[in-house]
Amino acid sequence: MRRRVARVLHSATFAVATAILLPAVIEAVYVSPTAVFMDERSGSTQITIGNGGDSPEEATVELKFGFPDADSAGTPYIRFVDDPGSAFPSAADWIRAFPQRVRLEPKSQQVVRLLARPPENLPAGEYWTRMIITGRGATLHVTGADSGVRAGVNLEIRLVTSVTYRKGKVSTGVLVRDLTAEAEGDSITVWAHLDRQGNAAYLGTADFELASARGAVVRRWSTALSVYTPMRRRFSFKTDSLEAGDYKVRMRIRADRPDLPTNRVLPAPTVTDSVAVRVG
Amino acid sequence: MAFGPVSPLRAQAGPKRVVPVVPLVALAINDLSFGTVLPGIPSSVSVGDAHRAGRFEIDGPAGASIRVEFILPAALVAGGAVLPVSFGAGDGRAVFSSGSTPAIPFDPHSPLIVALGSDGRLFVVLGGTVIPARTEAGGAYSATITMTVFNLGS
Repeated sequence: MRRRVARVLHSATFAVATAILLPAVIEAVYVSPTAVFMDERSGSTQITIGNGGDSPEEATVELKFGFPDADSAGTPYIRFVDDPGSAFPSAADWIRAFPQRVRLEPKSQQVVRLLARPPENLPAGEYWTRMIITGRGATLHVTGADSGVRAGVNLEIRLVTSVTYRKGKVSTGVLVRDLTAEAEGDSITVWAHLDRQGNAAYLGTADFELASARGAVVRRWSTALSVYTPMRRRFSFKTDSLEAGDYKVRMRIRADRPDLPTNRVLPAPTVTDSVAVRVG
Repeated sequence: MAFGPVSPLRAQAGPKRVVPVVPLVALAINDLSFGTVLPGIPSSVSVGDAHRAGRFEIDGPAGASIRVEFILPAALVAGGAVLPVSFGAGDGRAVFSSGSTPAIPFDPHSPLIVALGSDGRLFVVLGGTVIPARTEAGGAYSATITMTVFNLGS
């Protein structure tokens, strides 16, 4: 856990210091882990939610079907589907959270249990839902308003993470096509159509390199990537100042995620592609 | 391709990696506070105002891909009275604590999509403008801003 958060959560000594050195924490909600994996061998698991702030929080835990997707502009978002029916591999109807509503005292945490009750005839595959943790508790910090007009805005926090249930044999992979790139101003935008293979979501990392005409790598970027359904995805990166000229964008997608347990990242072939781009 | 060789089975092939469990944390550090405003005179808080701008901190795994959305009020209320509030295209700013990436201005009506830096930390700052009417009634006006942090990486 980050040092600052650790101070907030665990150390009264440091709390005194931070009260002097840093603004007070009005509200703080956390959830761990950020990606939950369940399977037929372990029908239940637990997560931890907590309040690192200085006042009590009312927190709710809600499960709702959704998955990462990209809109028509290639921007990633979480697509929620209210009634997924049989068209989507939803686990939202049969994974439950206990408790769903908790009161979190300042600097306290609560274990929330997730219990899966899948249908008996559930086919092998991967099933998804999103977990939404909402913290409400910040109180109005506007006082002394007898005659004047005083105005303040309270803050409410929601965290949305993933819950995945796997049954039987699962596999994944990704294919890249129609890779394009465009440089504009101090940014470069890369477009790629991503097709998922197999019956499970692809969880990996997308690496990008920008190479000059002589082959020298002048910029590098990496970002976590998930592909649940086919999508046309846009990636934008700041290039800052670059000499005008011809470059090549190289893209590599690999099934490796430093933030996830290795035994939860499904193996898949590494995929590479490249495209020319002109700067200036 | 210039990328170094990576086994397709790299994720599963080596010894089991011990992954520290890094939580996703959202902290509201500072309320957006307009203080005392005068009837008939709009009052703005800029994202550069360290004391009055709304300030959030998001912590998570390094490199995590996240999307941040805001639900913004159209007005603040005090009893039955309303005080219009607006958020402009320059009223959002994303600041990476590592300093290696420059701050990103954004319109808080639109989503902010970023990858957390090597230290896994991002600050989000909000400004805004209230527009009191000449006949605005005195009182303590308030509203709620909801910030949603989506983990896009899984």
